[in-house]
Amino acid sequence: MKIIDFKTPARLEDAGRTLKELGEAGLLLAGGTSLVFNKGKAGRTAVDIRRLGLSGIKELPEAFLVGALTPVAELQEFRAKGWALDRVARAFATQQIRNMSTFGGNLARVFRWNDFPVALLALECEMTVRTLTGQDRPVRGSEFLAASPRRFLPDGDILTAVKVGRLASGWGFGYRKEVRTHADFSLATAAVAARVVSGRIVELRAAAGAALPFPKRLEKVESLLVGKAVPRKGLDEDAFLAEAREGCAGLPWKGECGFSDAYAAALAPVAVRDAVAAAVRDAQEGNHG
Amino acid sequence: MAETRKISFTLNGEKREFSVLPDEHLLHLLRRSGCKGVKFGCGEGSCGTCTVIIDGRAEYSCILYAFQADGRDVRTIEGVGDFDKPHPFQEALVESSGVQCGYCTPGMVLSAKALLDQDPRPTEAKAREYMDGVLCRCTGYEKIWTAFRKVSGGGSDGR
Amino acid sequence: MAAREFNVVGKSVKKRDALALSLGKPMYVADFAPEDCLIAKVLWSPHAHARIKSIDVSAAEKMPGVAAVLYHGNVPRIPHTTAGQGFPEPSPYDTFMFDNKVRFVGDRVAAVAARTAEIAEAALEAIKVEYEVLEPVLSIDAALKEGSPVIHDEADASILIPVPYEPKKNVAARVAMKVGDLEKGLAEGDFRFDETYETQYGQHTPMEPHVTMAHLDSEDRLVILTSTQVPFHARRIAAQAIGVPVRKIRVIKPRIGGGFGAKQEVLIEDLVGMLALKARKPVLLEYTRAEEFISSRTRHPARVRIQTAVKKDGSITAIGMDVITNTGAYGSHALTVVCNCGSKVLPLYKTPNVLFNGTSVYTNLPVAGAYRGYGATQAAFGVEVNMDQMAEAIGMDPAELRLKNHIRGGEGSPVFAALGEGKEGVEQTIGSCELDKCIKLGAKEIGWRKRKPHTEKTGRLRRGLGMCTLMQGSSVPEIDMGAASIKMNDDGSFNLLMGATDLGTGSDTILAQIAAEALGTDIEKMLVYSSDTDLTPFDVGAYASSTTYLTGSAVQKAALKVRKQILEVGAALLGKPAAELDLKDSKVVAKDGSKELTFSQVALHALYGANQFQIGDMASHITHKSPPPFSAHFIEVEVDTLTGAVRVVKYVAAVDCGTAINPALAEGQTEGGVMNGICYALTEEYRFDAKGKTLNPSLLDYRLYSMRDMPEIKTILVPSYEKTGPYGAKSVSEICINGALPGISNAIYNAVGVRLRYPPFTREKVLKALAEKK
Repeated sequence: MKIIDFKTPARLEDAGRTLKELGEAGLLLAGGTSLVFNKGKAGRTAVDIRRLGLSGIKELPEAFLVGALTPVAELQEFRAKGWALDRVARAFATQQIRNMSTFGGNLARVFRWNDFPVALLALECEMTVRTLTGQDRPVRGSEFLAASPRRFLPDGDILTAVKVGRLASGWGFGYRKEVRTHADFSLATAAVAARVVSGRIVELRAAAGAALPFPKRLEKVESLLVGKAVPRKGLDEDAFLAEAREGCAGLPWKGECGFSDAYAAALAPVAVRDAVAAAVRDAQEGNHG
Repeated sequence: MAETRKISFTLNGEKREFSVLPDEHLLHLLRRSGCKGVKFGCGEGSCGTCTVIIDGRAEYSCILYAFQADGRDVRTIEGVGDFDKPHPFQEALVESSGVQCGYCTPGMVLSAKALLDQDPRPTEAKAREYMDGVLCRCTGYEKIWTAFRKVSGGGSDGR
Repeated sequence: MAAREFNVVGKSVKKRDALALSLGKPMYVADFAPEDCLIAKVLWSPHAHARIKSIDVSAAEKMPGVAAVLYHGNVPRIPHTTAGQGFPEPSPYDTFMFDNKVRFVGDRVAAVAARTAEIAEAALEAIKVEYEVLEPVLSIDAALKEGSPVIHDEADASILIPVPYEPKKNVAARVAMKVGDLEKGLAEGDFRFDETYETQYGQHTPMEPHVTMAHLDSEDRLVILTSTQVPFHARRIAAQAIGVPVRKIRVIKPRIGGGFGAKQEVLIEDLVGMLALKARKPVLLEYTRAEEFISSRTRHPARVRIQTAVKKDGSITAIGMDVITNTGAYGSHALTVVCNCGSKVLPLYKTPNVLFNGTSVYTNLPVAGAYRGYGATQAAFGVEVNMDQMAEAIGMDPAELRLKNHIRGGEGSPVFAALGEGKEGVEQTIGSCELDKCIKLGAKEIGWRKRKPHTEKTGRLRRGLGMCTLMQGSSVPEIDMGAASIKMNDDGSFNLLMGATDLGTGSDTILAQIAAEALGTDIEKMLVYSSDTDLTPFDVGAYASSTTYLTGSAVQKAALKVRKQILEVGAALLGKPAAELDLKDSKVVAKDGSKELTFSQVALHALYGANQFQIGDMASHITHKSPPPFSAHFIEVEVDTLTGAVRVVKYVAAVDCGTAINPALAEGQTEGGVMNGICYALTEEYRFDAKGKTLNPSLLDYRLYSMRDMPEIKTILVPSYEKTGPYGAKSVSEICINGALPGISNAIYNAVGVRLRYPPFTREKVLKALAEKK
């Protein structure tokens, strides 16, 4: 892909209209860090929306409203009760990439290895899409992330914000990204949100990605773990491993970067297991709510 | 052939105007504008030798389009220290023997400066996080790290 | 740290270019490209093995902005080697500037110089090539199989020196030596081991890819500014390949962004020079990172079979080493690397029976060349893991087994004389060896005593300790030469001119330290200029761990010659015999303290006063032995038994490099080598598709550690004194990279009881080995 022209619209509406006009020749530009993977020759006109004020994290009573153009570094540095996305941000590539990449970019142009889709599947979230007619259309996170977001973003519609649920009392979040080196693309990503009450997992949302063609919720893992008792202190090293393995079995695990599918299938449940353990510990430590 | 467009940004404290091609990356623009300290190492945002500081944040100029820098504040290594008055981290690098071939050094200096400007005494974990974007094949990072801890309140062999 | 005390030598003086580099001053090849410089791009072969049936460059030539197009049809066909080695090179002349055959995906097909990169790329696309695709040879076994396609079937490939060269069998080199009787020796042991190891492709990944710029100066001479470790070989070989006399070319090496062996190669100088000659304008070729992976040089993958036997008392009765290296599509460094597998590893342990066989084969894969360690990396891996196995078998501490068997000061080895670099080696006895102390200090630092067998380890995360001992060499004796010249200036400063190449190692600094020491002056007075074939005297360049030991001696000799001249002028001025004078603190001083003169006074008198002459001289040096540095590495790893992930917790490298001319720089070499070794052991590898195409030529998928990944590294310099080296120095730069493969493999064994012999030790391999163990 070759940028043959660029436009920096002053208003969101202009951006939408321009994108619609350009059609296939248009390219919505946030941070632009994923463009390096587009090796084609097609000429595109970039529509730069980085400076339309769609950046920032706003605290709402039960959620955080994260602007789509918020740099990943801002998520990395944000601290608040009930906020856990800093852990995801910290594991994201390198600092320079965290400074340049945007939250929305990672959601809207999905590569199999993208980190935030996995995390958001585990958390309650809602996307806001600004349509060409100027309306803000809410889309449930689970729907938005169920398949390629392009189907939600026909030329002209723009993802502007994501409302991420605030982790309430009793909740914990765990995130595992299996990598060869810290800045590597993920071999297997797992994100878990768990609510622990009186020594029992009462709610669990688990999601995996990178080793799957598309990030997804692990319903079977969830059903196996909901209701499970957890010790007050000192989780066993292999706590939740059996459930993770059973729950992950049969899914289309895929190895990348030279790793085999069999290895991915062996690795993924461990990542899930570790994320569950981290979520449970996080919940028991009462870090949120 | 695409036409050139005019952009302007502050480069090392000076407001400058440039004529750029839409697909020209900032690295290319900076080098042809005299900033030879910004290096080419990979062209895909994976090695960090092209690091510049934009609006106070370290970024990879090799994957940033020049037009994306329009209206912003750009600082390259040329804007950090000089022979008479090097930046403390540059000085520490020299004293700690943290420079071998030097190709990654500007990237390291700018990564460190961006961090220290924001947080003069980062924890070790934070420092490693913020310095993780520049690769070095010569030093094994040891003496670069020693130099960094010298200027970030971590002591000369604090880990 | 030094065994003796000196004034300048042995001090960690500041690296002279460190500040300028930290300030980002323009000091690298690409920084000097003029405004009107043409950009060169290369058309690479998409096939691993093919003949070029036809090639039509006419459309490219006609493109506006295109200044020159080269291909096999319009350049001379001159067989040569790209290996940066002395003449006659011990590598086959099997390379041509452009050939009508391509031998790996990424081989040269054509090249263009144009006004912009974009135009050059478009011109490449306009070149029409018709290939006759041939069956590729993509492994060592395929290369050696009867009836395999012959990669170098050209009639004009040859080798200049009398060594085996069998291209029709895809064999680029063969070497063998023996002492005693291997079979007999193996039978004498109480335990014998026969293990095969296989090391992988790896790339140096210097942060600055290969880059060369050429232009014609005002006397119509070709000036090549290049990122090279071997400027003089580059001049000679570029002249040869272009077809002009050496005097028509000047090669200049400015600051370079790392080499590690990748730039001990005359890789693109011929091409860029030729383009500049045709275009009659400056031409710049800057490799992309992908080209650096695919079309520069790599480490030789090697299959290493090690047979060893040991008696219960720990004496080693035999060592057999059978190495087959994959040299890729061209044979540069094929013979010498495989020789070094034996020569830099086998002498370490005393044993009456040694058998060494080395073979290097051609394949249709990326070209292997020189890479720090140079064969010792691959071979020491095998020997050091076998050592670990033998220790276990006899119930001896692995460190004890090394202490019992390693070569000592005053001892020699028949391997030294038998194995050189293509010809016979040079006999030597060890003049300095503090390996015992390296082992003891390293063991203490890692906490070797708390080591427990893997059978006692439990839990998901298991830690293990492993160690290894190493040797390397210092220079190629009797073959390589270095020279230096020194002249004195008005203010008592000196110009030190050397061909020796500083690739970031700091050789400019340490050589200035040696000169300053010999001249009785301080480092501030030394002005260093290195690596310009017109202005600096000859030096083979930075390889074979030569610069300190070889060039250092040349510098010392030159300085001593100049010292004599200063003393003579001083004697005349002070009216005292030279024998009663000394040089100290930049002054000529009477030993009895009665009189003194500053260096400046001496210089002014010599330049302007009476009997005027330029105080200065040149000296050359060849070495007569290759004294090994010694090192002991101790490593703690942590293995995650559920994911297979291996983490290095702590890495201790204790090294005896004789006198460390600059201890901080010696540490820096060790730390960098160790980190490189760790990545090579754990993450680095090339992946190829079924047709020989490299799948991961990118730092995004060829993983290197960042500051966030780095383990704790502790370097311990253990001084010794090598009489034959300048101020007691030996080498330090290569040995440190060889410890990670065996040390980590041994540590993994101590953690989880599996022996890994196929690096990189990825999580998948570890997990698989753990599963197979159950």
